[in-house]
Amino acid sequence: MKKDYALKQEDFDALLAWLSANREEAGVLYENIRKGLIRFFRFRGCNDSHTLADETINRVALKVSTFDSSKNVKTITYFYGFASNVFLEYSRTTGKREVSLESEDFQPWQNSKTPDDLSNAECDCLENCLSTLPPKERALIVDYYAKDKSEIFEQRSKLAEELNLKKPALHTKVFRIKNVLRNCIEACLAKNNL
Amino acid sequence: MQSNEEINISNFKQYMLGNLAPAESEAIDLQIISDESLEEKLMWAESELMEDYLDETLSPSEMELFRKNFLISSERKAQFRQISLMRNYARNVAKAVPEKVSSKEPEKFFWKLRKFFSLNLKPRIAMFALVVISLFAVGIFYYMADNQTASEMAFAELNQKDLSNLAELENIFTVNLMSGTFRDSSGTESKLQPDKLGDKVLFRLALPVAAAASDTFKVELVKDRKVVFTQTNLRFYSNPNGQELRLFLPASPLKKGEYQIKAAKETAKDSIFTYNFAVG
Repeated sequence: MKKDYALKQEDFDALLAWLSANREEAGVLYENIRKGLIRFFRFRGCNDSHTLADETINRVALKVSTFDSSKNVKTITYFYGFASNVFLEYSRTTGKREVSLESEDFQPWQNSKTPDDLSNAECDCLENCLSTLPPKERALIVDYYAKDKSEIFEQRSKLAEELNLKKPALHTKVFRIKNVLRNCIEACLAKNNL
Repeated sequence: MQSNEEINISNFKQYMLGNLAPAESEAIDLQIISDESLEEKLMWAESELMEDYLDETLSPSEMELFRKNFLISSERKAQFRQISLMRNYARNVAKAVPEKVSSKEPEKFFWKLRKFFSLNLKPRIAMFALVVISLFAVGIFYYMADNQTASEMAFAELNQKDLSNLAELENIFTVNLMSGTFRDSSGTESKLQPDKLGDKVLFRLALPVAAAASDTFKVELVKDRKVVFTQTNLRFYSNPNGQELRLFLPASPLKKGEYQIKAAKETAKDSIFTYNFAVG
């Protein structure tokens, strides 16, 4: 991906002026657009979505003086156009690859026989993080995953019934607990330099 | 029928797989950039897609797209590892505890037991907890047994003795009852005076049907539909008019009120003989 330029202060000022005549409002819009671009790259499966978002903003800023305001094109559409190009370039340079089923990424621990097969560090972090959850949440997450494929539907229906929840509400609850666990595990692994 | 939310999630999954038409994909791209509130739903869809892959509920072409277009960022790979880890861990915990039983109530019990185990997770702690719970349960059982049936056990011993010689029992307050009446077998109303009872009462219960030599009986003393005293393994005795049960019951539970004694053969508990009396 080409990045043979540096954004100058006047380019950035021009970008903000293009976003809004009110500098404060322009700052808020800029922040929102940047966050939106980060989301876009992140959910397109890119690594380092922050850098790609900044790259997109830089390109827009460099071209902002050439935009024809009479065409009444939405601001977001301009950003999206540039973001799409950045994404295509990213895809070409990194080369999306199909992950081999034999690769490390596809050795799901679902096939392992005992906890000994698991990565000890991750397992320890998972245990520690589970122990920080309130008991009901801990029990829920374990029960939610307790069954194999053939029994999952029945198991989760039973769980939802026990908790007096509809199934989507159960999934949301589990999803939120998983996010807490995920952040905790990442912090734990980082703490252990893993 | 799917809710709007489920349709959204399903659409987002297809989006992340790269399985939508360009126009649909572009519409979602723009939504993602402009609508911050979508982030949680997208994360949810992302997480569900990983679960779907691990559950093998994706079609073969979706499985391929998952590998080709979805599992490409280091963040997703890390998340995928964590979900796999969590699932495997939960299944190992679940396997450590019994789970399948036939009837509904025990199932609930095991369900709760498993939840309890899931709080501890480490097998050694779980095993220790199991031992402690078992000992506690046994202790409670004996404590309850001792307290609920201490008197019953004492009277059971008494009732196992040979009561065929009525002459030996003549000093003991005796109540003769016939099944289904409020009168005793001598024709007088069976209303007992508490102050005359002593510490125990001998009940002679006329059997309305013939008993076989091997028959034993269970007797329950009932007040206000609650069983207040039980005796089992009771033998019957012959008398000039037929057969009867003889048993001692403690006087202490006999307070003012109406009582029933229900007797049944231990081999045919559906045939119950009821004897009524009152304490005045």
